[in-house]
Amino acid sequence: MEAIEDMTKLNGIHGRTPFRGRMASGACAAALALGMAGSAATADTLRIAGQGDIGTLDPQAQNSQITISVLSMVYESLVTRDEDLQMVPSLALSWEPVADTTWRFELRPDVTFHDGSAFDAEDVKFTIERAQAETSQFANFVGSIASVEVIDDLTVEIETAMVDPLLPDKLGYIMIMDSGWAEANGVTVPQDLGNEENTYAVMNANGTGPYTIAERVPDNRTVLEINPDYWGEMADDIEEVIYLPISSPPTRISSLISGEVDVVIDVPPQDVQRLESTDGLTVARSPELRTIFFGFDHASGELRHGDAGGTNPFQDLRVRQAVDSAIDADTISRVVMRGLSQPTAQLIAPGNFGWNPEGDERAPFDIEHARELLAEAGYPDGFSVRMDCPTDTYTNPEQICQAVSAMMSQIGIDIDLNLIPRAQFIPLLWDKDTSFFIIGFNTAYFDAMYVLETLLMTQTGEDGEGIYNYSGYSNPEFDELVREARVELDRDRRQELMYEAFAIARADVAYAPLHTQTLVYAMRDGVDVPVRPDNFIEIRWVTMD
Amino acid sequence: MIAFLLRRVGGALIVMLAVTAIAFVMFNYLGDPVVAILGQDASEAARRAVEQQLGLDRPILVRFFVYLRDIAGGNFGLSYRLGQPVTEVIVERLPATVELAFSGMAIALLIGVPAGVFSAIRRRSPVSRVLLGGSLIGISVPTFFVGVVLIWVFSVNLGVLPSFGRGQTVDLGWWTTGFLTSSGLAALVLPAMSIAVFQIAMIMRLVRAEMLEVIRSDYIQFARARGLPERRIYFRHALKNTLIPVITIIALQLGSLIAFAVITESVFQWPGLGLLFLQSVAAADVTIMSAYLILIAGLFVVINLAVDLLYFAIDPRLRARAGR
Amino acid sequence: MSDPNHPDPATNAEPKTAPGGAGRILRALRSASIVRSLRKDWVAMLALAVLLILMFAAALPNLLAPYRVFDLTQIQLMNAFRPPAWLDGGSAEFLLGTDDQGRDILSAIIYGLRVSVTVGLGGVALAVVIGVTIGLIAGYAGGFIDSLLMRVADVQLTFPAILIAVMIDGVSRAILGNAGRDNAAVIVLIIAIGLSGWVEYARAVRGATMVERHRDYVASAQLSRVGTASILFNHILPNVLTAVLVIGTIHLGVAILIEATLSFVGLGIPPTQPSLGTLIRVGNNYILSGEWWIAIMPGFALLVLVLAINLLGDFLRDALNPRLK
Repeated sequence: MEAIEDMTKLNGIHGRTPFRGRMASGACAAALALGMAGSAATADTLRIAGQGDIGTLDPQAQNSQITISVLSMVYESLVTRDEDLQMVPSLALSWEPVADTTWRFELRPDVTFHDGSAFDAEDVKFTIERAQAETSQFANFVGSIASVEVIDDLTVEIETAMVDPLLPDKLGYIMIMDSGWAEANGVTVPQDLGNEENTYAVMNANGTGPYTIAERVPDNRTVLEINPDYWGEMADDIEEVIYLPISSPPTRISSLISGEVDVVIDVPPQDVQRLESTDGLTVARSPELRTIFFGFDHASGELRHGDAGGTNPFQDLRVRQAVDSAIDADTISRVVMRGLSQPTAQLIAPGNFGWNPEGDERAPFDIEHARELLAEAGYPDGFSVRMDCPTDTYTNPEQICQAVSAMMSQIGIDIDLNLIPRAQFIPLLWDKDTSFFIIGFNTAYFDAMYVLETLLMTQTGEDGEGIYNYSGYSNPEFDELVREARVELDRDRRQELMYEAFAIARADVAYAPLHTQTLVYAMRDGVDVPVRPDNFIEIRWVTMD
Repeated sequence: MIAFLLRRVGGALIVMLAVTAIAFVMFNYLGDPVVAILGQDASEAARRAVEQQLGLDRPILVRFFVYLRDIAGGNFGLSYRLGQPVTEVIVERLPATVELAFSGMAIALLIGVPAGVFSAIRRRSPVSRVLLGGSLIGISVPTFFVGVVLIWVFSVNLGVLPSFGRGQTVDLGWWTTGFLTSSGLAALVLPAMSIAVFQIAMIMRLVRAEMLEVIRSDYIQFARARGLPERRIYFRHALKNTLIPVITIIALQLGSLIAFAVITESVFQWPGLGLLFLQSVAAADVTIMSAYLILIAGLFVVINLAVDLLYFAIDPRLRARAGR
Repeated sequence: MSDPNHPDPATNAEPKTAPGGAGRILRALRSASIVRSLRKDWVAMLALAVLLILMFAAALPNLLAPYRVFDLTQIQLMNAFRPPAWLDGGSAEFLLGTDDQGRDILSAIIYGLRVSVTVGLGGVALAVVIGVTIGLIAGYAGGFIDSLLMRVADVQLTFPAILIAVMIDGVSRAILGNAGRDNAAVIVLIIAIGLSGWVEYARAVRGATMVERHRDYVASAQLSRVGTASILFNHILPNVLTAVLVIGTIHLGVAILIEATLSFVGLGIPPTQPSLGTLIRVGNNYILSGEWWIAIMPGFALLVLVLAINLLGDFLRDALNPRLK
């Protein structure tokens, strides 16, 4: 590994041809390594590699983690989070409810967009309305908003259709655009794919954040340059940040080991130990806010994909309990995740409001008991069912699904494992065309209400109830509790109600929870990228020597 | 001659149309492009809106004819995944793949042809046996495995060559090249080597076989009998006659090299057309996939045409037949 | 016009009479000359021995594999990531170590060999059937049919196997749906390899057929009103089989590599019933984390298999082609 250390020192020196013959000495190796400065590394460039590329530069077009994470370096929202994930001012200086359904936001003065125009209340109103468009991926976050009123240049009042205690949390995901810029470039609606000329906001950006987009080559690199006029505080003043998508995990890890990048997010669990033991590299980790669990088809009368003699075994609570207790989450955590996951019995992760410190006890792993339950339910010889499993999202889903298939075989459930890419998997969820599936879910604004509302409530098509309820789970008692909780302004009482609701879903085994993932970033020594549990690369906190 | 050309071009057009049709219909089953656009948590309403925008709600035949009409007008549509015009995306990626394929082929020729000639002339030399054995291994080991091993040795353990990407590129306006920077050249080494291994072995074996064939032929024997120097016989006469079939095969190989760059590009995350294609398959980005297939088909059609013309120029019998 | 790229062994090969096809090959194999050249060529002997062992393992995996790796009830996640027996932490229980699911690598390789060989042989067989049929028809009929079929062959060459496989993948999804398709992955790959590899057979057979057609025995058969099919299959086909055998052996190596490549990029055999290529793809995730054996062992097995096939292919080509002696 000496060559690598030499190399990092020599990054930035250019000019000699990399091929000079064989590696005879350290000096020669260093000369060879010159060519490895993969992406024009000057001393003040931070190169970050992740699995997928950002999908667009349009801040309301795609709610994927890496997209909003990188865009948060360019665009900013009204509120943001500090190290303890508490809400802190960003483009808003302060906010308060002025009536049951009205919130008032005082905006930060003297902030300008990258093109020099001033940030004001009009921009807030414009952006929120833009986010409400049908094609916006953030409509859900602003769904409760009835109207936005500009009081003066630096004050807006937001009227919600019903009481919404979480409005400021939700607005943390709405990145403010310049209304004038959007109008001038014809991008007042996000994701306008019908109009093929209209891609300006996809490739260009104009925010208030600490970085501007210097170059964007999709699937290859996104180069960000520091904004010298940034209003906020930065831990460092790194001149250039480059985001590089490297989808193949071994190649991604190799690029860090060989010094071609400085930071790797999306580190596969199996590589953590090696990276930790490599000189010159450090590994940072934090529990992620995402939970992985298995879902059943509760609704169909007969298995859509599988054979259980014309019935749907998953409608029987005992079958769901059997599945739950036949999953050996500890072994999966230890072997597949290398300890980088926390087995759980809940559908939300610690760090969310509504997570119950006493609710994390899993049903004991007990094959015998599971077999008995199946027999009681009338399936002594088990049944066969297809399990749908995406291969290119979450952490190690392929391995987890294979392991669970083997565990199910122990109690006589014969799994036909359907491993498919996301592009085929997710439509199965949308069409509710799956009998048994794995899914990962996180809470968006650190509050369990999101999960309760969208994932677990009966799908009514109103007020976002059950919009992501792909399993058809339905329990009126549960629905009532959630409806009560979501307009409850008293924090403790709200928490109590959410605990109760989760307890019902748990008793029903609405889903079979598996674990919460651990986020791992690996970086070279001298670079410090703190890991935020919601997987945002918070560039304002990053330092580099 | 002109009739011959017209027939070939007409045939080519039919081929391209067939490819377009097959590509378009098949790719609709690779998944839902809306996923790439909206992600997992997308409401019904948003999905319907996007489908309508893209025209995905129309029957497939209608979509196909709209697509054909657009292509005829030079419009390949918008990439669902990237939100950019397909033509723009492909033009952007093309240089990477072409540079990789040509570098790979150059390496293959530089090593393969001399090795082939040598092993044909000195059939019984131990060096020839080693070369032949090496070439057998070369055609027996899969390209991806070569790539994985090269990364493991040169990037991870020795730390001397980059494992991914193209390094620093220079934008020439209509072409981006990695040939002009040290990092670009360094980044090219491993992918080009890994793509070349199979080709080296193949070209070597091909040149050797053809050369042996020619050496045995009457006129070489005759030249020998006349007492011409060996060197002159081999290089003036034998090699020259060997090269025509070799050039044909190489032309065809260059096409498949570009198509097979898919594998190398995925191992080395080389930002070319092959990687684009794989990513598009995973995201069900139908417009890109179709355009890629049409492009590859077009490439082969052009290469085939060129080869045909080459034969036409060389082989008098063909000319006579076409003239009839 | 005979294809200049494929000097055709069959056209120069001996008998002008036409005994039964298999019989002729057998006779050739039994004939003193081929056995003698095999005896002289210890490399080919070794390749043949290795290939026979591998084929035996592929044919009867239950006999040789210590574990039934396709039987989920036998897999224990606890056993995952065991190193090979000779390394620290390895045990004789799992000779070549275990993979990420706790499957015995040796057994996985043996079963994977079965999948790879099945796909390879199936693909080659399909290519032979398509190629020989088209070649015979084109060569015998000549004229318009000939140029039409050869045009189709050119079109076919327009598509590398990998793209054909992606398309067949699409068709099979259309017909079978996703899960059904995974179960039929072997058949899908066979079709993809068959459809992408028939041209070479067709060209060789066509060339040979054109030559044979003008020989006396065919003419006399035609005179005695023997049916066309009978002429093709009883008289002409046997004379082109040596060429098919040589091309087929080399094609088998290529076919197995294509399968491995497609499985490696995730377009081939799913990991529930892994082929060698799938095993390498899975193992590739662990190549940096220290569990190198998961990828390298199947990779080595694949190399040995294809190398043995290619060595034998080379030998057959030289032995059956008198011009190269």
